[in-house]
Amino acid sequence: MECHNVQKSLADYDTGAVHEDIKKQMDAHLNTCDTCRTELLFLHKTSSAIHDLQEIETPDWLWQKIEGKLFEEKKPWWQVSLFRPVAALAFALLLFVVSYWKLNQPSPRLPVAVTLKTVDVTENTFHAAPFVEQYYATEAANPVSQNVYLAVMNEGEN
Amino acid sequence: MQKRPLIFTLITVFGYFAFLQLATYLKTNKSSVNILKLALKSENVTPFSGTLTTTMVSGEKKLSSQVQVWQGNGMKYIHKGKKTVSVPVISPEEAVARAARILKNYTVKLVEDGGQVAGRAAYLLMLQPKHPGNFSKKLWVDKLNFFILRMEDVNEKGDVTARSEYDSIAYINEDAGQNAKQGVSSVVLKPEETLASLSEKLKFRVTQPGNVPPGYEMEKCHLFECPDHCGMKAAQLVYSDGLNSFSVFEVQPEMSGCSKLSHCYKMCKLKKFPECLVYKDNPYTTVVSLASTVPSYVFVGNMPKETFLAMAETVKNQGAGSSVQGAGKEHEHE
Repeated sequence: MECHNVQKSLADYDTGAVHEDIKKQMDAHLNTCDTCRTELLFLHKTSSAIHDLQEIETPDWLWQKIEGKLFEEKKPWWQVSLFRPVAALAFALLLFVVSYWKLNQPSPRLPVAVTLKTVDVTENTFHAAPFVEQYYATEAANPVSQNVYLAVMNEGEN
Repeated sequence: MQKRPLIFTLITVFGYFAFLQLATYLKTNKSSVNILKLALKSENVTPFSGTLTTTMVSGEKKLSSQVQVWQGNGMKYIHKGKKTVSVPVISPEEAVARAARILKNYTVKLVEDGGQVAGRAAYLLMLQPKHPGNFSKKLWVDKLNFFILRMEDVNEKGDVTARSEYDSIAYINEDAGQNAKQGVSSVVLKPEETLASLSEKLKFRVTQPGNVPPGYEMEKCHLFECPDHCGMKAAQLVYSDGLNSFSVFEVQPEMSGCSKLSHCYKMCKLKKFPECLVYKDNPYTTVVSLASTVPSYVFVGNMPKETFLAMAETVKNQGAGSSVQGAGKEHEHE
């Protein structure tokens, strides 16, 4: 029997769990091999030391804690503690922007029921010139109004 | 916990871009508002002389006309053929007030490169109405001195309804109007009044009609007298949203001097019409008359007739009872 075969079975040999034939072969080898004998001695001391340890009763919560850790799901990124205040802030900001936009929307122009009858007329029927000229004159100084040019346009063509 | 640096990085990057966007918006908005204010004042501070073409479009109708325009001694002169009209240029105070009204009712967007107008580089200011139904406007403003080189009125459908554009312009420091003093007719308005003072002068209660389009407010009011001196007087209520305007004339029921030769003769005859009369002075300007009420109403402006009719609807039931003193005389006159 060679060393590596013996050393593989040393633990079983120490506890007496090897077959009788194997045990005889190992005994023969251990009588002649210092290395394996030293190894057996070290293994035996370690086993004895473990055996001599005082058994401590484990607290009930220990397993629960271990079990909790074992089966704990990894939190997704959005459950990271910083996300919630940021999301709340963003939502509040969005609400503010939407409310502001809504409040500043002009009210739609409601249709007015017109009951007045209308007649399309020409200048001959309704001499509107004084009113129209006055209207153009009022707007004359407005630099973004084209009315004054319209007035002169009419003058030029009349 | 390992995700925290990532979150912080994302927030920082997002914040940086948000800040950039905000800064760009504020800068652009401030620039566009400043350019608008300077453009409104430019006729006051920049002497100029140029040729301006105005085109009106209504459906398939198109009307175009070219006039000479120049500024000197605080007056703006508009000349065509044998006619020259002079109007006072806008005062700085009026320009500031007008800018405020425009900004209240319109959003201003600046386009840095508005191309060339009359051979000059221009900004393009786009004014979009906050109240649907109103015209929007485009202004091309000289990059050098903020003079308005071109303006376009755009209706809700996006069609250009009127355009005034300088074909050529020169900024000069002399009064070009000196050569055209002859035949100049100046636009002179009577001083501004209040509704109370007008009511007192006209002897009927001058009130504002209802259904005024959103964004429009009464800007000022004047006493208007018939240019034929026939005795017809009216209260002129000028409504504006900063860019566009219309006038409501409330005509005194008493027209003692009304004769067949006067402008007002036909106005007097109209009193027998219970209907609203609609007249288009040009494709751009609508006139609606409601003569059967006391006082009579005449609406004039660049508005659709439906707008005026909606306003006329609110005053149609006004009869003799609304007049303070002159109601009875309406019938005497007829």
